[in-house]
Amino acid sequence: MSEHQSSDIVEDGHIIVRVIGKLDVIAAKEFEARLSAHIESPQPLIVLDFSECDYISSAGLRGILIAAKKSQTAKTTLVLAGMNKMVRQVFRVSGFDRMLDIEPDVATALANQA
Amino acid sequence: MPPLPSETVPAPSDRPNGEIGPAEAAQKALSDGRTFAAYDIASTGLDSAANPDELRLLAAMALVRSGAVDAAREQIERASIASKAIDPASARSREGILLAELMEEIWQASGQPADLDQALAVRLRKAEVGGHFVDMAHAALLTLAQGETADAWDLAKKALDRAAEEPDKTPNRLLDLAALSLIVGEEETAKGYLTRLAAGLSDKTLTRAPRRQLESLKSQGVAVDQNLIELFPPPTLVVYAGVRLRQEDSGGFPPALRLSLSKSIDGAIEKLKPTIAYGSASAGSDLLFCESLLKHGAELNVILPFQQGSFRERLVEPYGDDWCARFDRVIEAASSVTEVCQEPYVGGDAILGFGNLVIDGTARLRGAALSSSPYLMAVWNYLAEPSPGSPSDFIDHWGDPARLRLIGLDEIANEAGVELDSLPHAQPSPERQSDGEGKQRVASLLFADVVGFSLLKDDQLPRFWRFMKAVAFHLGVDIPTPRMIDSWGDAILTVHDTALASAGYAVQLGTAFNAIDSRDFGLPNRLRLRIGLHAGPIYEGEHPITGVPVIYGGNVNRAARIEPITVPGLVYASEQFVAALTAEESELEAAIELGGGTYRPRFHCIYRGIAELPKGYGTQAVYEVEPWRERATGAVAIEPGKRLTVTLANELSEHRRLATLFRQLVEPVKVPEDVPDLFELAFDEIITNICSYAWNDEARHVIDVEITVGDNAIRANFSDDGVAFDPLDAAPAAVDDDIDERVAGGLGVHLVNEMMDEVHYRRVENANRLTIVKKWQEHGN
Repeated sequence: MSEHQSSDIVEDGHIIVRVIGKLDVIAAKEFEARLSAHIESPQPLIVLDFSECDYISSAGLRGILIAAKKSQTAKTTLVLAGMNKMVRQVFRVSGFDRMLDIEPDVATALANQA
Repeated sequence: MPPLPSETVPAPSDRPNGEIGPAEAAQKALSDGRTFAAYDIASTGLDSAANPDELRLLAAMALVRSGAVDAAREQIERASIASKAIDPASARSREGILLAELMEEIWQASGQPADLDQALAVRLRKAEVGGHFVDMAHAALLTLAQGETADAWDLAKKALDRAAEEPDKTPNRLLDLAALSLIVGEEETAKGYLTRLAAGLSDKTLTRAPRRQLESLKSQGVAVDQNLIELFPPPTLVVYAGVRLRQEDSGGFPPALRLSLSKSIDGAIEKLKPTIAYGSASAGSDLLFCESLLKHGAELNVILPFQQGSFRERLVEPYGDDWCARFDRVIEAASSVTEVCQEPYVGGDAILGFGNLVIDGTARLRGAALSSSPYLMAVWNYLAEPSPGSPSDFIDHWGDPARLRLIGLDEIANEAGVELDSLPHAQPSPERQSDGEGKQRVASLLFADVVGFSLLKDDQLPRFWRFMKAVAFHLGVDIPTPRMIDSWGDAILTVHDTALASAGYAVQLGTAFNAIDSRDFGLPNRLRLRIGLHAGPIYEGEHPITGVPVIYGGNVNRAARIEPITVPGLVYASEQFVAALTAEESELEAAIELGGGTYRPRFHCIYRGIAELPKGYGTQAVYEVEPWRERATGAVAIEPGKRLTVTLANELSEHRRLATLFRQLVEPVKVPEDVPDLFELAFDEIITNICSYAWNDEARHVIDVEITVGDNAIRANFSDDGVAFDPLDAAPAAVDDDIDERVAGGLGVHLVNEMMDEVHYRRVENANRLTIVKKWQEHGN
């Protein structure tokens, strides 16, 4: 709903997807659809900006897993950035931190991929 | 049935020469509760309307209110306003207003989060382009229902700012303003609005809407003081029952007795202060009750067991002109007069006992709609033989002694110095009872037929019967056996002794029919069953020519007229049936609880409107009957810092409500700062799991949650009555797989397991019980 309305930043060469509020089971469906649309775009780099995200549940992880799989075939790089303590813990416990590219913030993510 | 007078809307657009157009007629029918007529008017008008949108939306509104939510959605999709963006012109048009109200009613009927989202989207859009207070206020309330407390706060704030510019203060507006003030934490302001609202309510039966609104806010985590809720006490309902006079007492009670009795009744009514009353109007204490209730400003609903003229002739006229005049005055002044049967009296007890059952049930139904249970006030003579139609009909089955007010006739007679040998109630004179074969009995009737059966061709009929055989197989062995069952083609008629048995049969038949898809049997369409239920006195006998058992009478014809107006796939019942069902349930409840058991309600009846019956059978109030499911609304008990119990619906969005309540629970306690977040995550995962795996149907169910706060631990229990499912049994998430092998399942349980200190599952009787515990060190995090 309102908090997840698209506020994504599309620029030449990358897309910054802002994850806002709670990425729970309700919000995950729309997030998954939004992310899939971005993966299919021609931009080579997608950064998921978690700096405004309070928490993520397994439904949100699912969306990210699907996006990560798609990005491999689509030759898009997917980078996650700006996680708070809670979100980082969920990624660690689920083992997602080991298979995804995670940076402390968006600036680092962009700089490392430049 | 809008709970408060609706907001003022622009006049309908379709009045060419001062004539009432279909839109206005449909609107009027809707506000009179004539749901089915509203649908007919609106859908018939569609063909010739230049701008069919308004009629489509009115038809959809009628469908929602008759329980056909999916059919309503189809109508809305076809309306052009629903497909295009709302612009400033349409935001305040009749179509725009209707659309917004309709989406909210659909959500209230379905309880589905997707419907809530849509209702909110319409309100937000209207608020954005129109900037009207109502839209902004409703957007805030719907956002709160989504669990988005912070957004709701913002929206409420904006709406309140806007309200300052719109001075109009209708009851609806005052309630909205109070709700918004509570959301933003301005309790004193809210109190001001609510006090004004309470003072201005002309009719005490209107307290329900504000009360429900406040209770709903509270359950959504808004701080609402109980004193505010108490500003809107539920109305006091009574059933009154008087002893009838003896036949030989023509002329009525001895005047001395009448005076003292009248005084006692007045006193009892003064004390209880009833707002709404139900009962009959025989000469004697019934009419004394009626007069006293009217004098005290109560809403009086007279329910007569049979035709009014016949009732007056049998139960009033023999006692003299004085009683006749009093009867006529009471009938004139009563808020409603209903005949249980539209036929004249034909003798016997059956109809009198049934009349009392309907009075009892109707009062309870009204009570259920107003969140209040009725009291019984009865004039009672303990020496009199209990017989059908006497006050003992009520007293014996009443159940709740705290809601019983007895007026002892013997004491009053003693004081008045009148000799009372034993004053039995009078039977209407029996000479009308037809001899021999024609004795009436009270029965519950079910008529069912298959929509579209008559269109089936001969080559399809064998497939149809194979399909019906599959339905029969699904009926189950515990289906209540009818006294009589008859069929003709696809049509079925059953007769049961009680409404409970009949409703059980109807629900099982409907469920079996809905469970099987006729297209699997090579039939062209998905066939639907229409089921109508009715109850009342009927004749039973043998057909003189065929020798087959038959039933006949006015109520059989009425039952047959109800079935064709029902919505296929649902079970519909007449008001008389539903009243009998409600009274039977309360009697059963009283019996079970007397034996120390716990009663689980069986059926839920929803008022669906007034239907016009075919073939000159007049109008009939109808209800939908469905198996009882616990309702989730309002079932919250919270002791901050200690304990929380709440009943959630099986909807994904409920974890947000639970998270909000959890934060209120732990607010006064010092818990490590990550604890609320960890529980929020666990709630999300656990509620999602239960909603996904516990039930295999689309129906509403509940999840009971209990959370207790200890010194350095918090424990949460989740119970549901779904199929046995141990989440800890599910395949563990393979956290070390790399991205290609990784599957998305099992993660939720894994997260809960990792984040909590204990997770247990037990199957207890027929319930799943999951417990999670989080502990922390006494000092610091």
